[in-house]
Amino acid sequence: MPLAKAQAFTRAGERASAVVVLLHDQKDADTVASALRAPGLDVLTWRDLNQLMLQAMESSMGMLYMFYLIVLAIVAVVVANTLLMSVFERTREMGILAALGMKGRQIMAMFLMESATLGALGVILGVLLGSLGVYYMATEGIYLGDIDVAEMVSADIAYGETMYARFQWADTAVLSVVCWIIMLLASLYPAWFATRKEPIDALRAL
Amino acid sequence: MTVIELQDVTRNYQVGQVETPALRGVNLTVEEGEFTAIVGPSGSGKTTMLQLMGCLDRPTSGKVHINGQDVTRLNPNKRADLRKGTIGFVFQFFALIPGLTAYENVELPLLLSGAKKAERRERVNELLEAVGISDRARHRPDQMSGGEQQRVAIARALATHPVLVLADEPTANLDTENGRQIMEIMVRLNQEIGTTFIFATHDPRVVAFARRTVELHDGRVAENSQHA
Repeated sequence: MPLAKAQAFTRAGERASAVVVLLHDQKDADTVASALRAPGLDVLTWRDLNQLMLQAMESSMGMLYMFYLIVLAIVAVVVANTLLMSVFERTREMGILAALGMKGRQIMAMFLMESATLGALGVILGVLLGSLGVYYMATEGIYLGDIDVAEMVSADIAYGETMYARFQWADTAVLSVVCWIIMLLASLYPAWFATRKEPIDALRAL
Repeated sequence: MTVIELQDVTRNYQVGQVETPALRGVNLTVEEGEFTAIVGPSGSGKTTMLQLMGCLDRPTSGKVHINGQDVTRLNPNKRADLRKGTIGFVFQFFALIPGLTAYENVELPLLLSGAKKAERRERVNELLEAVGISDRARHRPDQMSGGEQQRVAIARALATHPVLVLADEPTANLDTENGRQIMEIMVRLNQEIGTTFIFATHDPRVVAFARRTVELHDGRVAENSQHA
């Protein structure tokens, strides 16, 4: 409906009760709001109008961090279990190395080095595969056209038809390093366990 | 010079609730350059004796001297150091590291000893030549026969110029011809280098190579004889 017709229909004269400004980029909201601010006018950004939705987003981020922690705990358990199995399977080898004069701390260092290398390779592979998924989601996105998102979430925000992913370098780097450190920590017990074996016990596996 | 001296050595193993004696008060002296066979039936204590001589185990009582040093109360690190520089091992099942080539297996003790690359290369090639297996240097254990693997094990045992090589049933897993060749290599290296060899066996054909035989029965020395 044209503005003039709406004003006539509501008998508002030359006035308007609310003006909605649609921007191309949500990042410009604060700048434009500051520019429009004047005595007698209430200027509200999309954030002010959608407090509830923003709180819901924040709590879902908390859930996401919980999810990270669970995944990292699973990684730690799997790595510790794999390395412990490797220690059992390589009892014979450790006995030989001990017979050749390798000390307990050298055997421990060997296992830790192996864990560090395998962990680094695992993280690199994980980042590569994950990046492929993000690349797909960033270029193809998830089509939301058939769903009335505005009705589901908020009518005050303009939504596109497709939701796109974005690669977060900082998150990727932090998670990769944390993951690698957790793998190293998880390998400490198996490595220590390997050094507890007496050469004679290890050689009995021969 | 005395390389090994066992003084009233006993070794008991705890099997469940029962304490089983493997060695019962053994006294033995082995001089430098000897080529000695430890013989006796299964369970007579041959392997236990070699493990005590090799600092892989500690006696329940008594003392073990290697090159005049009492090794009985040494901590694990000191025993590891002693094994690294003084003792070489040859096992019945070869005990090579599966993922490494023959060359790398022989190189391993030299790496642990901190030898430089050029020194390692020269020593490994010399040893592989000495045991007649230079052409298999780049092969892994699963690509070699039992006889070839045992030659690599002998080369590895000699890598760090040990004063003593301990071989536990070195021919038990080999056919007659390979067993004979392995013993001939050991005899030759003993004569050429002067390294002391002590090996456990119950094969009379292998015992024939020894210049001294120590016979064990139920953990005691039953006979100790020198041959011509």
